[in-house]
Amino acid sequence: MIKTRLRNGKRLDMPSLFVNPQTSRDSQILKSVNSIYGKNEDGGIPHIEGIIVRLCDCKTVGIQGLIEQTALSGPSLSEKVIVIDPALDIIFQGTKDRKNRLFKMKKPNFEELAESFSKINSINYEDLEITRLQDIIDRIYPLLDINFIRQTLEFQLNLNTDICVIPSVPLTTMNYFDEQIAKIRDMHRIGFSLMQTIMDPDKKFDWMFLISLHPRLINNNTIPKIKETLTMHQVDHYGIKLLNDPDTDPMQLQFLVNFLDELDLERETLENTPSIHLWNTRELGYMAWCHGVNIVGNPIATYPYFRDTGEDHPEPPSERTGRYYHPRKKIDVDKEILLNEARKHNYAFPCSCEACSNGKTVIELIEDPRRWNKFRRTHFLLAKNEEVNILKNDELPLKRAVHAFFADPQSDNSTYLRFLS
Amino acid sequence: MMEIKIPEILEKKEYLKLPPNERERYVREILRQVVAMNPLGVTVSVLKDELPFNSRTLEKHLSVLTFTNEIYTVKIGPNSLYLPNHKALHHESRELINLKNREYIVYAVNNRLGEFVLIQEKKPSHSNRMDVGGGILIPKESFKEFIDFLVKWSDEYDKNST
Repeated sequence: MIKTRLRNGKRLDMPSLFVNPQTSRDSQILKSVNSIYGKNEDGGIPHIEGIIVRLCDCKTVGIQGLIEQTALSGPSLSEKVIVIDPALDIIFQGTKDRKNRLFKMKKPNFEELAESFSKINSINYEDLEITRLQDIIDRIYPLLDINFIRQTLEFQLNLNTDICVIPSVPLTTMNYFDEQIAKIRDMHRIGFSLMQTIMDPDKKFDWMFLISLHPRLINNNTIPKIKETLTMHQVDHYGIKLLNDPDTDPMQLQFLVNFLDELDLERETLENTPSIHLWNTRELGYMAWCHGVNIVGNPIATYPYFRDTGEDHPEPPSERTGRYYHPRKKIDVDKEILLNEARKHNYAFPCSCEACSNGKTVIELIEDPRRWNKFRRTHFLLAKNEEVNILKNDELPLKRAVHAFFADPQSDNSTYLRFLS
Repeated sequence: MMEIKIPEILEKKEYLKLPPNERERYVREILRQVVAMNPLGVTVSVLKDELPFNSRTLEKHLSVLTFTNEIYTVKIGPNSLYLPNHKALHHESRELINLKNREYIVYAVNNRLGEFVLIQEKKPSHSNRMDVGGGILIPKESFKEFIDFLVKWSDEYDKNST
């Protein structure tokens, strides 16, 4: 394990797990779990070391409350590392609800962006020579200028977050890969220059470059360009945020692992040995720890990848069906599967976390959706806290511990084993 | 021609988009960094060749940096050579105190003109960042005398106030 200190003195015991609350309910549960629970004498969820909040969720989640929260026992949330993800991918492919939240923000000011998007959405591109994405690049990209970047950075610095993420557009398609990567490089360059001069010349904050991308864009041709874009300046953290599930395609997963390995090698040549992050992922993150990733980000009890079907559902499909993270199978299971399994054991939960072992049965909790969704989030945080504790403190080296985790006979998650040999 | 090191700078059209007060801070910080990166010193004419700022802007900000004792000048013929005090700073000697939302930082400095103690004041700018407000350089051999002078003044002031 690598103990590291951020510039502001906060400590991390890497590899680390960060969680990403996205709703006010996530936030309330995170606060209460950290405050109330904890088997060990420290209490809380000490092995979840950080919190990532997307810019569009800051108000909903009550970011100030998270930053200021003190626990009854154990480390307070305020002691954890707090990061704001500018998450500009939301404006290109988020839900209507989240886009609207962003567009209503005054600082950074999204008004012009909202107007331009409104115009774009009113156009039928079928009979036009220009594509919608080209029009977005022509109209929207120029609005993501130095003042927009400055306001986004200022927002983070004013909240005293621990790692300042320089905003950039997502990488979403091979058709416009060059244009998108050029814009990312530009935004990184401007953001870096602003941080060096007017925003943080005394280097009181950690700085981060983050690229949000579809994993299908990672291949032998694009890896060098993505890597070069990430490492173009020396910052304290480099990050990749996945916008879709690489598990669906073995080749995508292989390319992702290749990329992480190359980034890890490149990182060793750099003076300050920056940390590598992989956000918006789940159990894949444990495998990524064994390929150079230091910090992994998980949403709370939610499948990370959501496709906007055009319906205005604020919650992804997994939320609507209320899936439970099964710590022995290492996957999320539907309520029906959980119920069927629990039936054989007097409806007891297949988990020894404090939430699951407090006497309530599956059938008692599953009937009430509100109670169920609150419970499964609480369980998720406690189960993950314990998983990370076991993996990091195992006597075996990390790779073997993670291999043993996925190779467990009860595990239904063997996708990553071939990367852990 | 003298070659100097410069940090990565924004394109002119980019930095001109900044609000006026941020633009001022930007130019000053770039100059601070350029002088720090060139311990042998820089002149206005060299800076004018390498940076996208005019002479008037350069001179204005260089004089502010001189006033706050972050840099100092040495006359070489008709030219002024601007040298970094920060390069001469002994960072291990740095101590900081926070008093009523301002920071006071003390450093030991050793430059071409001798050994000094630099006391720097930083105060919050409009955007809540800390900016250098001023600085004084006291010759090191006279520093104790200076402290005694301040203590005596403070005691007299308290006596006269009560």
